[in-house]
Amino acid sequence: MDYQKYIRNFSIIAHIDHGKSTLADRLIEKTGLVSQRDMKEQFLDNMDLERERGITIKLQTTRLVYNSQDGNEYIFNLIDTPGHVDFTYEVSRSLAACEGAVLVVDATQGVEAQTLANVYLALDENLEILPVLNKIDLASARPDETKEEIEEVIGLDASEAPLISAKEGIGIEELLEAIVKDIPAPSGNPDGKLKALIFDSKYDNYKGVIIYTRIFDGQVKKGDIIRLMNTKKKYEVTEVGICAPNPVPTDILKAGEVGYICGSIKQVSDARVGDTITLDSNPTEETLPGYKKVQSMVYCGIYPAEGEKYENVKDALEKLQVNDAAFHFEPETSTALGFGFRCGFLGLLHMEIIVERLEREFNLAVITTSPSVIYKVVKTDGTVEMIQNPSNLPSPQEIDHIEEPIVKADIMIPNEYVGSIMELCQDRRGKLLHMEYITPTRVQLHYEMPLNEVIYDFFDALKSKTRGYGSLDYEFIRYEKSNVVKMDVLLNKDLVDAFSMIVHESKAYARGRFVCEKLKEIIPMHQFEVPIQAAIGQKVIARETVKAFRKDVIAKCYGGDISRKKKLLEKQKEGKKRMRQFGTVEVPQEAFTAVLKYDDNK
Amino acid sequence: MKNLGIYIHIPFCLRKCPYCDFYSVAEAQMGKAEISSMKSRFVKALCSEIEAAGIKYGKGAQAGDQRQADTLYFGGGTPSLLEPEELKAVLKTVRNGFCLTEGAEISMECNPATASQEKLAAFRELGINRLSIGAQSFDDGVLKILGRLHNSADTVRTVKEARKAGFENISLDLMFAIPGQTEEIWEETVKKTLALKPQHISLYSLEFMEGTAFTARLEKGEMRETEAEADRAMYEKALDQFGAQGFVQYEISNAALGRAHICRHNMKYWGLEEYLGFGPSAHSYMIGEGGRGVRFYNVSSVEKYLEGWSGEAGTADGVSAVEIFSQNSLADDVCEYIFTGLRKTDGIDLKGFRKRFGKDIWEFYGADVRKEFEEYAEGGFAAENDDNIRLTVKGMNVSNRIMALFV
Repeated sequence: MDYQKYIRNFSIIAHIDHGKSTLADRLIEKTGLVSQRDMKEQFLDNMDLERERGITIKLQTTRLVYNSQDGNEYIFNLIDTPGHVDFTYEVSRSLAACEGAVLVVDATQGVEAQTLANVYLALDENLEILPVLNKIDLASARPDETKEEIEEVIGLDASEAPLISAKEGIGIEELLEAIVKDIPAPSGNPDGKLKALIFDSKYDNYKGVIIYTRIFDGQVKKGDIIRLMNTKKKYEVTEVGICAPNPVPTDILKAGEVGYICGSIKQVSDARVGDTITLDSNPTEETLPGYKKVQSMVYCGIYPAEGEKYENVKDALEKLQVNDAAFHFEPETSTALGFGFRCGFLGLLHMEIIVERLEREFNLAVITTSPSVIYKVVKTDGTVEMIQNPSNLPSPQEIDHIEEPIVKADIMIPNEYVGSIMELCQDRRGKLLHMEYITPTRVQLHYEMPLNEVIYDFFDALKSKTRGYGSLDYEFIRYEKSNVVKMDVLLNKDLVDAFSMIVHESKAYARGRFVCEKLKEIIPMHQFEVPIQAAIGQKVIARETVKAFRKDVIAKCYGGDISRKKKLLEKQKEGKKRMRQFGTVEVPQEAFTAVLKYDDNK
Repeated sequence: MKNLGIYIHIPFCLRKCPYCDFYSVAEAQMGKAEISSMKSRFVKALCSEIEAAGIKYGKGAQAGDQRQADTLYFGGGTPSLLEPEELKAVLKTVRNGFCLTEGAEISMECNPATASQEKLAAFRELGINRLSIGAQSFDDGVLKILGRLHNSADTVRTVKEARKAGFENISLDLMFAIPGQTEEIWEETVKKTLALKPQHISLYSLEFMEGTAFTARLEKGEMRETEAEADRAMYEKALDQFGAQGFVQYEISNAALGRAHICRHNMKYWGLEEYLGFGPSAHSYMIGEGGRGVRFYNVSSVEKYLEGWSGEAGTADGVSAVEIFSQNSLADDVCEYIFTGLRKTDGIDLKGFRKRFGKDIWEFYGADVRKEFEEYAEGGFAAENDDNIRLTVKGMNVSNRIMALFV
């Protein structure tokens, strides 16, 4: 019997607010995997942080059992995908594990930039795409127009697209039938040599690393010795099973199936996403295409805040690292902040997520320093140093020149924003390679841009200027000689190394002014005036002053109600706890991130 | 016998002032007839509450628990809207329930033009011996911005009529740092205030309180807060001028013409002494077992208050009229004692502190708090010697951050 006939492996792709997670919830509910009572809103987004931001960062896969109208029982493997520019590679690997994708389009909004980016990723993987119109219950839904748009913009036949409302549970049955009918069954060779794709992995305290995998050919079971073809590591399989979505052990995983493998693997970086699993005793000749070694592109310092223990931060970083192959760290010290860590990330969002998880999940107070890219410093003696921490930059007389990483940035935007985005890119030292109209209303801009400019606040600016419709993808292309300089910040004449950053000479003045202005807003008034200065070497390029405090008083403490006044004082004290003392100046922790934020008014 | 203060909240106004966040209901919204009928039901409920408290803490209490009242304060709202008959009933109930000491301070807040000379005379006759008049400003433009119903001539007249009615202890309330109020306008107000020869002056810088119309306008950008520098200049200048006429500042926002005219009732709040509050939204602080404070306060709703205290005589227990009841810990008492105490120019008497809490003040706090306080002292914001710690005028301007050391 051909068991693969009854398997459907698919992802849901959608623009951020178009209801992907809600739809996943409905599918789970309708197939009876979870009882309605046990449903947490948005089942697949398993981190609170993700739920709050409404985006899926780390994926979770789940198996559904569906009794189709044709009388057969089908196994659906729903593979969730993360939704952000920093994670394009992870999305592409998740899609590679599928035969098809359900494309959710909000019938009130139509096709959007991010939808398009994800559709292209899916098409790259030769997936069958099943368009679905969501939010059909809303009065503003315009299904016919949306269908036309899908046909015109993406080139997909949308005439049969199910009309659904994930929120109200409308049309879910039809969608499940369409999945059975339209998405192809897998067609691997169960008797061939094992060839399986790692599309996710996560660390579990009891099982070690759990590899989420799609078996393309062959089979794998407990006791097998597997080989990870790119990292060349070998492990004995201790358990295989399916994701329901919690791991449920089974005897064997066969071609066409999706499940998990455990093998006493200690860190997720040993089981990299995109790697190919095969049997050590009978290996396949070729790896699956598309594997990339993830590289940290952005670095920053993470330091324990006042009163926080170094060891606690270290423990937490270690725990995060076992679960995140793209994240790594090493110890470093700062004169201003003491002992801490230099951490590497995929991009700025990845960095923000790690920092927020430290704060929320581990309940730690940390300070992050300005993110930096890796500069290639060619010294006068001909040696080369790779610098990720501005404080480690050799003195100017030792430097022959500095090279900075350049990326190719692909930006997709609605055409009405072309002018303002080109202006933005130009401001960020971008070089326009070419521009193409994907449809009459959608444009893709291809730029070469210093990564340094991308990481500061480019993505925020892009989103802000395109009202959320712009999307960005970038990849490293080369190092290029550049006139970058180190800019320092002095508070009350003392240099605070944690604020130092490397900037392009042409941007130094503007950046310096911006940082000083931001710090002026954020540094509280002191007993004395606090001068804030930005300097390159000895030369001060910007200056602001925080005036000495003058008024901070509750005039009326009256009628015996002192509880409110007490609360106010308590709040004030709490605020003080989050301050960091630099010499005589107290600086709130948020100052470090605030100097990096995109400012619309700028 | 122990002394306590009694506060009575009269939650009625002709109209809500747009900056005020004290609890009251206004005729302008509810209609005169409704307020009038509510007021008479309120007076009955109020009397029930006072009666019950008298049994617990006053004449009806067991010998060890009995307190006598040495201050009584009618606040609001607008207590001067009470009819003399109503006030008479309330005062009678207070006297039935509690011993009032001889020479007890009995204050009433009064808005200009809400009480005729006749009414004031009746209040005086009933025993009110201190009048706190809500002048706020002597500039009609500023009064209009403040949404007040009176003008400066009304205030002058009310003060004069109060004198004629026999009031010898009159306080004037002033506000500054009001949008549209220049330093010149404020100086004029200060001058006119002094010309009326009050015994006491309260001066408050305008605060934008949550939920008020002023705050909404501030957030919409229709109004701007006075710059800190100008605000403090007004404050310091006024204090100087009051000082030159013999006024002594004894608390952040209060000055008295000689210590005899210090508002004794309000001093209880800042000395963490016992007080009972009656009426909706009124707060109480009583010292319970082990010398620890107990705080409770009534709901900010006349309707709920009436529900709690109406019904067949003797059946109402007022339970539903209490919103919060909380037991202070030693740490709560210590911190409240300090941050209220630092509002007084005399600050905190260290011996008195030790007597009340059994340990020296610095034994309750780490070396870091002491060090920071000393830094403030070095900067001229605070002062300390063997007998007390206190804030200077410079320190009062920024008192929150210094008080926050102790919470």
